[in-house]
Amino acid sequence: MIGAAFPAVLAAAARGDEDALATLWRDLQPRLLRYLTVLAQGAAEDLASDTWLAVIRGIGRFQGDEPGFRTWVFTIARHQVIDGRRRSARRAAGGLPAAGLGDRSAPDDPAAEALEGISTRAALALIATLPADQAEAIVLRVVAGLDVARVAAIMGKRPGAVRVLTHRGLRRLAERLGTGARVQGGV
Amino acid sequence: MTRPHADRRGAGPPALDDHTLERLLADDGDAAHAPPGYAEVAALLAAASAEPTPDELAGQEAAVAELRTVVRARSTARARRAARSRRRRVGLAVAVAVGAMTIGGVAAATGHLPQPVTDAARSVLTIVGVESPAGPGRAPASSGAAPVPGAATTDAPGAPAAGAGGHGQDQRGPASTAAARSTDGRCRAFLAGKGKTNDPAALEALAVAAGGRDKIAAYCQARAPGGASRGHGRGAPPTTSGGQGHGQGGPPPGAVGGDQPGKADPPQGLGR
Repeated sequence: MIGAAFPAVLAAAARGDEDALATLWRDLQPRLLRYLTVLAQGAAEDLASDTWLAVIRGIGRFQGDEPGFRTWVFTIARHQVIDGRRRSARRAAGGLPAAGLGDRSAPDDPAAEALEGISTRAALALIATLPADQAEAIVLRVVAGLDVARVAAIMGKRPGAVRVLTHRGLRRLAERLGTGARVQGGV
Repeated sequence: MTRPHADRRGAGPPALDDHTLERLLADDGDAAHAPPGYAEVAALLAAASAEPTPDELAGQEAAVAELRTVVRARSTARARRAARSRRRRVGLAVAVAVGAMTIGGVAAATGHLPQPVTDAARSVLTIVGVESPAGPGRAPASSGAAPVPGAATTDAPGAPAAGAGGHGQDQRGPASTAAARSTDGRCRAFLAGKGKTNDPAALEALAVAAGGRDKIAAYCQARAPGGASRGHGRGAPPTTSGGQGHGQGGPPPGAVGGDQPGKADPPQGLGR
């Protein structure tokens, strides 16, 4: 969050001011990477770069507050993902999280790590095992820090649908992480 | 690791109402306040939204530099486009002005324009070789430079000043060099001077053209429509003879060689 300085930062960034661009970038790049990792795994960095290029091309025309700007940026990012999938169906097939089943665990067993302190990467990996829409809804809410209405706008869904997706995803995560759902080896 | 994912009998986490859901999603990750069964989820969400890692911020310099380059390139391109469109607009204004003068010329021919405009139109028209009717014996716009708007100084063909000598609208000095070069010009000079001429070369050329010095008079009179009287006449009707060669229109038949500067005849179809 940039806060009260956002309008000034936005205007300066549109003019190419280095500090302003750095401020925007530091605020959004980590969030973008995490979002894009959940949606597109290894393509996240390239997609993030493409997102920024599209953002800078349109930044002069953008009008709105900080949440609006962030919504706009993530909408662009989402389009980059979709375009990337169209360009490379093969990559997308490998990149999508397993749909609807949840029996595919992340390579480094984030479920086990959960109790020991979980890294950001592991947390995202676990989220990525959710059905795609659930994963995306959770990441947009938690990582991008956007409210239901904005998430709904980005995903092209109704707010009620976003709530349902979020709820289901969190429940599924709870199942995987909660002591009741985990099966200890040998017990 | 197997999961009893299909088995939700009491082992699954409780459903969350909207309020609880929002609290869980709120960015504080305090497991102690998480709804029952969701402590680990709260920790996971906190990890997902933790501070940026050094890895994630690596490449900031290169990224920002790239973005600045794009901004600069776009503003340069924008400035160039604006300059191009400004030039086009100026060119358009010029073309419109010239066109207005041309249209004005048509109106002038029908006598529906005030005289200064008519003169201006005529001066422009003579540049492009369009005939225009004789005025009431007024001096034609000298060089046309003054009345013709700035348009003429840029794209209009043959700025009036440049063409002044050529079409001889203003009869100043002896017949212009260009006119003198033409046989008709020489003839006119000859006739006007009643055989006397300051230009032996021109006389020689006429002699060649006419087939002999003694034949020049007849030759020239035959060439000049209207006969010998045109040597001094005024208000001669528009003739095509005046319109030969670019910028060589020469002085009007009536006021040749600048001998009669006061008797300015309006040019007729000159300048061509």
